Amino acid sequence: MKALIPILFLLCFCCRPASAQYRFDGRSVSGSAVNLKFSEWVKQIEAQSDYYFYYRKADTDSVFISGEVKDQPLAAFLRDLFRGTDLRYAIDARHRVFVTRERAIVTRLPTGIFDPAAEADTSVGYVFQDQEMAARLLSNAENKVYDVGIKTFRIREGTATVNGYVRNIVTGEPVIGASVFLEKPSIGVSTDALGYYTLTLPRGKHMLKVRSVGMRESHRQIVLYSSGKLNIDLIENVVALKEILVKSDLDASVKSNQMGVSRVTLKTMKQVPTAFGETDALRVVMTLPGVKTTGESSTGLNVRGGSTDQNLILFNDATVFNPSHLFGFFSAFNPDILKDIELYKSDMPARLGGRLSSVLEINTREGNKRKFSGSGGIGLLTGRLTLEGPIIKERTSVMVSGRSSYSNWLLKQVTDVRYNKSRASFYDVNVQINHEINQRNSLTLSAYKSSDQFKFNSDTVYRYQSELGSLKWKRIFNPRLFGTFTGSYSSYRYDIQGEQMPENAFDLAFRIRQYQAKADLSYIPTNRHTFDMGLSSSLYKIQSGTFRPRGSASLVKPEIVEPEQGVESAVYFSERYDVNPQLALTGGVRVSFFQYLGPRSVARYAEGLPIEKKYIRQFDTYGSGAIIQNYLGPEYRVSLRYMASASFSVKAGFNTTRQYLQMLSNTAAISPTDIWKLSDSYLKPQQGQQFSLGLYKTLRSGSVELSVEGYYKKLRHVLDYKSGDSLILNKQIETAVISTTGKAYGVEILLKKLTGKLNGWASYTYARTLLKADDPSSPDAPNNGNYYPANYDKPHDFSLIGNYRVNRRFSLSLNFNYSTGRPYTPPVGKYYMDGVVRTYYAERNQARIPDYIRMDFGLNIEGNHRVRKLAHSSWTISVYNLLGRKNPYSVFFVTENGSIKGYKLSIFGQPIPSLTYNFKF
Amino acid sequence: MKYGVLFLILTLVVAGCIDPFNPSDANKDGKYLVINGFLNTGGDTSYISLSRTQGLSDKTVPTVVTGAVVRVVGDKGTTYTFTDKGSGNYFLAPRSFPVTENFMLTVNVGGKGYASEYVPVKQTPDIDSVSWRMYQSEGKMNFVVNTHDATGNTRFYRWKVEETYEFRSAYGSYILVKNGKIEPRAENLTTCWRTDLPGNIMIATSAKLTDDVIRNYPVVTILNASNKLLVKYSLLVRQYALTQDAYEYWDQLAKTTETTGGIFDPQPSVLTGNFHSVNNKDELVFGYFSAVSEKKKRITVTPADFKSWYPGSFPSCPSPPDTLEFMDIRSLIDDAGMIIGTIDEPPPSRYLIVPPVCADCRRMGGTLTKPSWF
Repeated sequence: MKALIPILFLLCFCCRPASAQYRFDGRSVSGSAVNLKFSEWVKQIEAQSDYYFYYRKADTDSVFISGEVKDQPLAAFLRDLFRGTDLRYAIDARHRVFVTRERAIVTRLPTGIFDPAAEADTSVGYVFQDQEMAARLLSNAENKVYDVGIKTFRIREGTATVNGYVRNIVTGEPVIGASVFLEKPSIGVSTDALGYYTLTLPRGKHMLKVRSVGMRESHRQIVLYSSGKLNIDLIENVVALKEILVKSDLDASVKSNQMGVSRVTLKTMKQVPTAFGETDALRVVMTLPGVKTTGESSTGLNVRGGSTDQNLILFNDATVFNPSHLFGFFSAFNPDILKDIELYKSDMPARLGGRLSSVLEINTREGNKRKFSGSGGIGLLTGRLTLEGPIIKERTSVMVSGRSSYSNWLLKQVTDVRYNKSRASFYDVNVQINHEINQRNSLTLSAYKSSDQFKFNSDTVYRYQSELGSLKWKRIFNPRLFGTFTGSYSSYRYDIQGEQMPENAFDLAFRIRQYQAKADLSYIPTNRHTFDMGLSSSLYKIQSGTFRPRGSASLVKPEIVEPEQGVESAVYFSERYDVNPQLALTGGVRVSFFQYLGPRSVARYAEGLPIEKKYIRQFDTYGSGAIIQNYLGPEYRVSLRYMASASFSVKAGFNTTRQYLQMLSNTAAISPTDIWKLSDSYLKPQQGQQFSLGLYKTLRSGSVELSVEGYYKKLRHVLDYKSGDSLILNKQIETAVISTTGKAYGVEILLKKLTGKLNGWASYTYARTLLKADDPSSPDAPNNGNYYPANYDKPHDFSLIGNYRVNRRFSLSLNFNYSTGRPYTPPVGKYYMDGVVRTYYAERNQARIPDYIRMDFGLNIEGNHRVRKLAHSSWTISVYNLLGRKNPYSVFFVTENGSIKGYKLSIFGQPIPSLTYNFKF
Repeated sequence: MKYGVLFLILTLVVAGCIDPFNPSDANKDGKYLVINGFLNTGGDTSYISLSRTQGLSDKTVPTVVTGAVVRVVGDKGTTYTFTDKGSGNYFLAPRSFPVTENFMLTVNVGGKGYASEYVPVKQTPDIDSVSWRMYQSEGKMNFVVNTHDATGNTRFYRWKVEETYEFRSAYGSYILVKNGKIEPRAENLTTCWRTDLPGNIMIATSAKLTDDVIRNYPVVTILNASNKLLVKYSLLVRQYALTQDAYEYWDQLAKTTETTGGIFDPQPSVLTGNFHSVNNKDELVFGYFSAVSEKKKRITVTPADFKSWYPGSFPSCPSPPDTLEFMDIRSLIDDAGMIIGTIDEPPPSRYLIVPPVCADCRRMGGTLTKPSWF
């Protein structure tokens, strides 16, 4: 039938076209030709009609027309002509012909588009398939319409679930806490710790918005057919220069269910000037309301009236027993690998426990999964370097970082013999591997080791070491159920080597190890309910102290305090229920169980007499693994949030905590010789109870945040120490401690502005912590069994952290800190008793050392902002203690020539300038 | 030098700054009453002494409290008044006390009243023995006490000791310069006697033992270097039974006042005893009142007792004697040097002179009076 068949020659250069003529009457095409060029043919058609062709010459230069046709409709002619090629055509009502590749142009608008009453025609199939390359470009992704679920001609009524990951487009890291939401109807969720979100929506077309601070706001147009997956990549705010990842939402503290939670990002940490120029995560935490520290060279935190051992510090889920280097002058964490720090001071999630006052989670970021990069810094005393990159692109990354001090070479240069035999050094190393097994499973392996060595005037060497390791497996069972399985190990040990004289050279050592396994599950059946449940178990092994001779000449008698071990286990369950958009409730219970295990011999004391070494009647011996003591108790975690308006919320919480492991320290600061001790037959588990209430308000459309939180806390079985008893190498610790009941209360006011050229926060805390001996009749009971201020009771505390960005390269920081002096027990006078002079003291902690006032200044200079260069660099210049005030760290009294004299010790008596160079490539 | 600045930074850290500190409330001493002593129920005189507390930097002798009315009051009506002996001391002549009665001590001074708690009368068991144990390799001697109470009622013990010993100066000086002439000395300055009253708190308990027995409690440790045992040494041990409260008081006092003060030392606490002010309960009173009989035992030793061991070494002089002509010592006084011998006799023309501490035993803290019982 078809006598004339257009012949197509592809890439045929040898065949020269012959001139030919086609006729076109506005409907049909007739004529014949041999190897006529498409463009020639178009000219002929256009000349004979009002048709106009839109095409690219390059697309059609291999199309030639041969053969004869008679009265063939234009559409059929073109269909035959393009058969077997990727060329498509479309003809619209205005006689325009569009020739395109792969897809034909849609020349008709969807029906009902100008008729709101008509049902949306969702059957239009012009939806781009998800093209991997295109998705990399956000602007494309935003313009596209994504099909979610199995595409159907007609969308059924009802709801469906969309889920997926929100990731950083450059590094592939999950974006945590990003809001994924619809504006109408108002439905939204935040991504979890994996960057995962699950959102249940009415089926149909939606504009899904994604917002996270530090990331460029984005949106996705979706057509939701049925439940399905949508991964979203976000671009970082370009100004933030990649390493900065600010997660919390602008109005997070108003909207979130939790209270008493502070999150500090690396960006914020970097702005705070420190003594030696190096970013110090813990110093920044100390400026937050409700967090205090006893002194300058101490990284011990006192959170809402808790002692320093009542904070669970987790580094990638492994417990940190000593968070500092060099007696507290540096924090033990390399700032380059940190992502953020999260401090829970009242609403501890049910998954966390084991300490009374707070949980401080230190999270490192993932290594770059897309390209190799590095960063580092050089300061006056320390240097650091981090290298990271993919092992398997997009799936596995490795990050290795190290930090070391180099003060030793400096000390050796000193000619003064008093100092040139002193040594002070430390290092820490970190290795982290992240592996994405598949979409549903990922693994994180993290290892950390730190070591400190401190030697003074060549006779005593202090060494301490931390080793931490954790392996975490995250699994998404289905879009509504996720699990995290973690195994971790931590070890902390110290030893002190005394070599003053060969005869009494000694080696004093202590070690604690913790092995932990835990499983956490989250189940989100609907947007309004979230269930969390899990269990965990830890084995503690403590080498409580060994004292051994050092060297063959030593006459020291070895002394070994019996090691101890125990198992702490917990199961928990909690539910968050969003009653309506205003009211959200969270309730949880955690049941913890502790077993104190042998082998051990336990002293039994004469009945009716105080627990004192002199009253030991006998020792009971327990075999290995025998249960000496069991403790079991529930911990409740309840909170509610009520949003009175979009910018104002009220939250209330009640929670209880239990603690089975304590650090024994009767000195003012955390010292490296402090020992850890498990609860046993005599030392009861510490218990805490906290009521808290908070008001949160955002001002100036979310850029300024004001919060007021108040709390009242009851503490039980908190340890204080008897007068004059040593804790080191003490085989019967129970004889040296006093069990106390504490109460703590306070109000914390925080005004925060985290955006804009001028940012920072000001916080004021009024807080009291009072303790009272459980047994007021005991002769050891301080202050006759009445309440007395705890060692870290500092009622007034004001902090100001200010940062002003002059331009993109310069920023200035200023810190100011004021707090009431720490209490101490002053000697008041002396008297003679049986011919011997005796000093007498006021009641415990009745005097205060002078107030603490400090101001620091910092200047950050960024390198130029050219995109392509070898390395980005920045300089940090800081002056710590700008006022040069001699803030006393402690006061002490010594007897000199028969009279007792007071002295105060200040750590930094002058402004301390420093300079650090940071680089990144 | 080029590291100077860097080093400065480092040392600032490690050395810190230590400055004198005078707390605004320093020397808030309230001149509180201090009551020393106990009621001796064993047929001996009881002594009470009253003084005042002092400021920390006060170097004067503590103020004594005179003119007070000191009474011992029983809960069954017995009352005795102490006699004011002057200089803050009060005494009560020996008498017998009913063991079933509890006693308290009251002090009235300047219109203010102070009282102790009622304490039971404790009967002190006899000291079984006081003996010595030598630790030759460590170069020390311990004196230990043994006691027991067959009735098992005592349990808590305290001891006080009095050490008396004879010692010699390194050299003997038998002549002196008087009115420009050499004359013999009237006194022998080479042999002295001395009595020490160590004030450290010595307590022990048998509470954790099945039997009320104290074995070998070391009351005194004598280092060879002290030379106390070289000639003759006598130790008087006084033993007192304590109540449990009293024991804990002395134990606390030892802990708070014998070990604290340094920067890393544990926190001290306030400790006053069992007295209180009748008028003002916030006023502190220091002291611990006990009613107890006293048991004594004395042991006297000489080096011969130690057989194979010689405890110490004969005293030596830090510098060798000077040899001087008479012309140079015409106006020699004992404070400047003492003659221990002569050369070129007869007649002596040169004299051996040593520092006074080497020839006058009184300068080492002794007296020339031999205790009558020694």
